[in-house]
Amino acid sequence: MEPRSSGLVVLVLVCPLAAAVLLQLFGRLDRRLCMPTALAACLASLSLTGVLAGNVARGMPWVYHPGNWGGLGIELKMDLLALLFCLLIAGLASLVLVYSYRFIPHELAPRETSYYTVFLFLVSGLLGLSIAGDLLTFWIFMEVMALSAYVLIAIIDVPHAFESSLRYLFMGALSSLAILLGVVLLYGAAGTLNMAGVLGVVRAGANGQATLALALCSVGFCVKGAQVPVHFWLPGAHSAAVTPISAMHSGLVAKLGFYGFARFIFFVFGTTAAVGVLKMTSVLQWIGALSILYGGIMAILEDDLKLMLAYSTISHIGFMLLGISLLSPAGLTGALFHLLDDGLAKACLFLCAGIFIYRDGTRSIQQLKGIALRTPLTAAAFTLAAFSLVGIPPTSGFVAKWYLVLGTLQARRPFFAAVMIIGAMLAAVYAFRVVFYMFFAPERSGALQMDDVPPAMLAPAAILGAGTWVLGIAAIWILPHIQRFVASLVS
Amino acid sequence: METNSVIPLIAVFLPWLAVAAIAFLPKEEQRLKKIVHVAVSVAAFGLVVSLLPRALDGQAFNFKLFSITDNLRIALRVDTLGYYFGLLISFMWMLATIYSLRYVDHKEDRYYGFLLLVLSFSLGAAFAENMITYFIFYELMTFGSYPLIVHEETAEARQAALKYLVYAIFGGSVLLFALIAHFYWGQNLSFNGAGVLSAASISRAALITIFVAYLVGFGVKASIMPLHGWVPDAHPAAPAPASALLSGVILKLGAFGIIRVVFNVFGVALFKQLNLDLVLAIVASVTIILASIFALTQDNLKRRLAYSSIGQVSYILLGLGLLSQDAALGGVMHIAHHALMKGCLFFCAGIIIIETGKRNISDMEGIGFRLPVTMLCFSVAALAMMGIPPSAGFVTKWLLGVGSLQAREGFFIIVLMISSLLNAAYFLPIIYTAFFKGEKQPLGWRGETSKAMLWPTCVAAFLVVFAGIYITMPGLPYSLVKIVVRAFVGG
Repeated sequence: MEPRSSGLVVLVLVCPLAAAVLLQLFGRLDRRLCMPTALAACLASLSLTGVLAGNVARGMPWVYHPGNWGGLGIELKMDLLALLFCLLIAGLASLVLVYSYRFIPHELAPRETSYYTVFLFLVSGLLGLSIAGDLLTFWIFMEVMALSAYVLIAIIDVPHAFESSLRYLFMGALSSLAILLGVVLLYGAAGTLNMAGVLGVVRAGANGQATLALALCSVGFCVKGAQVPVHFWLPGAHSAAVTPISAMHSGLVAKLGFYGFARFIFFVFGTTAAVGVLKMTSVLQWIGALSILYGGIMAILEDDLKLMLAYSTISHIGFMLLGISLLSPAGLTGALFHLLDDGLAKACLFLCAGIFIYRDGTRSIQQLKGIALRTPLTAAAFTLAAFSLVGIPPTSGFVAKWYLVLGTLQARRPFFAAVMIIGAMLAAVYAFRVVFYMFFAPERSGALQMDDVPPAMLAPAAILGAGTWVLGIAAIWILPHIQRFVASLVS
Repeated sequence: METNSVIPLIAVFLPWLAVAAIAFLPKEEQRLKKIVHVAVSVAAFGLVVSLLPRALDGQAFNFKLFSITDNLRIALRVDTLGYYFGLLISFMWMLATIYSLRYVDHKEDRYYGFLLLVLSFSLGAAFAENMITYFIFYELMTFGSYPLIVHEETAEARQAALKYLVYAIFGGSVLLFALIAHFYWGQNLSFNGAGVLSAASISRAALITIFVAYLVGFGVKASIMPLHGWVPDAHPAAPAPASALLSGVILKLGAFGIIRVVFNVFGVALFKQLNLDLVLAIVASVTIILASIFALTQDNLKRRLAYSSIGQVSYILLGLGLLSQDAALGGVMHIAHHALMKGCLFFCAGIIIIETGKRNISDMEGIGFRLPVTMLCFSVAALAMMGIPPSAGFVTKWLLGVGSLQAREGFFIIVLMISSLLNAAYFLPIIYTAFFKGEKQPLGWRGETSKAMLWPTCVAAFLVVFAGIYITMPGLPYSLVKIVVRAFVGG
């Protein structure tokens, strides 16, 4: 169906951007106003996205052509892929902001204003890259997001964080450079930056330039998504960051690796080129499978809760990558749904980890033994999300896993079904190990008491934890839209 | 005949009332809470019984909850087979809940909460309309049982529960694969019909893959060797009423799944055509013999009973593997008959532990004088297990024996005979030790133990004999199972 034009699309992204500027200018006047301003901006983005959702779900994307760029093809476009990611971004960011209200003064008191400002830049970068309809906009907002992400990791005053941030910066810059080169090559070949335009040219006849661009972009997104063997920057970066930022990173920023592939394979190169040239999708399948197993095994070996979750992120992005590179309808449905459910679950788990850090100052899984007696609600939220991470029915993780495994069979690659099932078993080991320690470890003592953490921290974690189960039920309403969208991408 | 009925749905979710009672009643109201628990379990049984007249006419009760796609839906449909199992589940649960009143004396909220939740999940599985509904309830049941097994929180219980979890996750993962493969190739997960897979459209290799995956997935619960490892550890660790339910119902949920696979997924004709019946019969025979031999060597009473259960559940599978009319009848009836016998035995073992603290058979000299009624019940159930008439155990063994001749596979009679001999070899010494070893004392008829524990034991023992005499009485297993067998096996 014909896309319809609306200025609301650009507003989605302007809200957080404007709020960031406002905070930078006036944030220092009263630090208590920072969080509400940022939250208002994110909620505004969320509701704008919600307003746009109806038509997108019915298969009609929204577009907006800012300025007068003529032949360059600059465009903002909200299709279902963008919509899902935008809803996740704005929703998660709002919850993480609420969480930050009490957590950030605890850890980052003097830099609160900067924190919220950069946070908003991060959100606008994420929103911008997801609604970008052309390569340049995509790349620019990806850089806005990446630069904010480096800063948000280095913002905490520990030497370890700075070092991790540097490593992340180095890898991030290299990958951005690779993607930029790819974009330039594509522009050279197609003469337009618009994704639909490029797609038309590449389809007409993929040449050497497009092939090279594809290779460069693939390498770039593999780094962004921390896939084996270019994953090494992620565990340090995710665990060194302040916890709300870890949640953002794991739930959203690292998912860029997947989102970029989804965008580029289907909207820039087209599946024929992706399959035919370089056999890229088969390479991606193996990279995804390796990452699933590597992340899972490393997570089991890890005692630091946040590092464990970071490795789990590698594993779960592997699931998505494998799902998308199978190019089967069910696999793609599963991958897209996994983007949502893993976002919720990972964010919830990180927020719970943050509560343990806030309360007991510990990140060691061993020291969580019996903590369910002291923080029963946090432990319960953690458990809900852990079930989704493993994919136990009726959580949303189960729905995703169902379609992902179905996708491997559709693509006639049952071997990868085994990989996914083993990956889920590994997830069960590392996730339930923590649950087991929290609830049933012998080192429990004292009477049961309710969590003595601020409700502003507890509520977001609980909402996300419950959300993973609600999404599992709500899948019956969401899936038909995703499936229709997927059907338009692969036959 | 199909009718829509909401009663199964109410029966499934009624136990949640008990959870609500735990959550909302004040802590001191232990007595009131216990009344609610018992009332809920009795009411669930009553609801199921209220459907009996119509179930005996062969009616099925439908209730559709919601559908994801046309052939993927969450729905309840109580056919005769499901009704039969649901009746057993609710009855055993009623006995076990009453028994628990005196047996369980710490962490009661957690215990009863999960006890009744598992009732809800098990009933949901029994009443499931299709494999995905079954799977969801089955997995919830699996994880809900964990707190019941770990209840005592000794090091031993913790180890056992962990082992249970590891096995369960492995089984669940394989099961998920089976389910997805079934859905992918068969496109129909419904239990409504005698076989939804067909050799015409699905390759032989795929069919065998599906069956083997189901067999392994359900086999962990049904404790097929070598997947039985968790059973002998979990039974002694759990509280006696939970052990009774483990053996009586939870193991059977695995066997029930295999019955569904044979009757409703493959259909008897296809199952035979693929020669899978012989595979199942051999696997079951090996388990029967080996489990009985292992049982001989156990001194811990509950451990010996656990090994006995491993063997007995395979009787069900043997009946299914022979698949003649009488063998199927015997196999499916054994679900209920074994539940009554083993329930009674575990109830007795629990009374022995509570009253004397003895767990090892070698310490039980002369215990028949101290606990005459208990040991009488024990003897009745143990003799029934050996297959002495008139008893429930005799009926099923007889049917299986006749059935193996009908199937022209007389070899399996030898398996039954060896097994009966071994049963005698490990049960008779217990009776001998209890009544004929040690010093003779006056019988302690009075104040033997509390009524709440003794009555369920006596009811179970009574039914073991009663079901062996009035075999065809409406409501007892035969009346229902014959409808099932007529529908699926013929005759």
